[in-house]
Amino acid sequence: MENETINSMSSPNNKKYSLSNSKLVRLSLLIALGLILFLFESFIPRPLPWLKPGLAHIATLIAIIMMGMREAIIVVVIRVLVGSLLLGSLFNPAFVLSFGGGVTATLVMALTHRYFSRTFSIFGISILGAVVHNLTQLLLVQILIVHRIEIFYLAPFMILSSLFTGFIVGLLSFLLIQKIQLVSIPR
Amino acid sequence: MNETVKSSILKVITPGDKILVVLILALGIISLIALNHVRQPGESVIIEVNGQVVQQLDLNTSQEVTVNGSIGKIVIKIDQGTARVIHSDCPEKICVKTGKIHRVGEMIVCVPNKVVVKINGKRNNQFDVITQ
Repeated sequence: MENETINSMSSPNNKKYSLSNSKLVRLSLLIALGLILFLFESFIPRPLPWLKPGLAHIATLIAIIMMGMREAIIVVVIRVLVGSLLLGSLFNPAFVLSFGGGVTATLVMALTHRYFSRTFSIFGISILGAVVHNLTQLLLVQILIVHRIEIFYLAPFMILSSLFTGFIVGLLSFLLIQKIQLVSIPR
Repeated sequence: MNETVKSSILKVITPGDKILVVLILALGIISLIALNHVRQPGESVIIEVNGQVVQQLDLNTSQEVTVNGSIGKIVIKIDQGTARVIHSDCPEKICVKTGKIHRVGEMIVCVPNKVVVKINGKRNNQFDVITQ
């Protein structure tokens, strides 16, 4: 059983996508974690509507580091779909923002982890993800909703707040991964 | 947070992380400064009391306006495309200390008086969605 898991993890380039039981369970747990954080976050009051810590990306980060890019995409897509369904925002603009920001940030984080994991630790990856998530959302807001270039006046504040929120998310993911210790953390 | 956790975090953070943080910080600050320079001067001043718009004035017409706030009078002076609060009956005078505003989106808030003075551009750009 263990061998099977290790094999399926070490060969992500297999043409056929194999979903072992243990992988299915871990995926489900990460989706559940992401969902809980996503919902929890939507209920805590925020000083500004766009200022959000992005705690749900803890699940994405853990998926990227402990499972892989494909699994991380699965986690984020299902998390956004089910989360929006539960919040009642499925397919409305807020959903498009969550989806676009989440998927782009996950792709950037996963690729950074795959190709630059020597250069950046989980903290760097998380901060990069937060910045990408926020800027993608800003771009989507401009394209889909506001159609006014003034929206980019928010960009500097978003970039600066991403540094902070990205670090917090990175820290929490780091501590969680240490606790889980299924796989040792690559630098 | 205990010592071992702290040291393990310090061990994980790479030079690349630090460079990334510095770059992003620089990007944020530079874009903040750059955007502040290109930001348009406003066209009009909106005065709200208790969330209700009570006056909308042209920013290019010099005048002094007195508005009744929740606890007293508040005097707003508009001069050469800028607006400021020159007198208020509130205890802390934060609104007076805020000084002049002139760019679109800038505002002076007097919390005790529940007065908001804000600068508007040609059109309203209120956001109509909250991100989830």
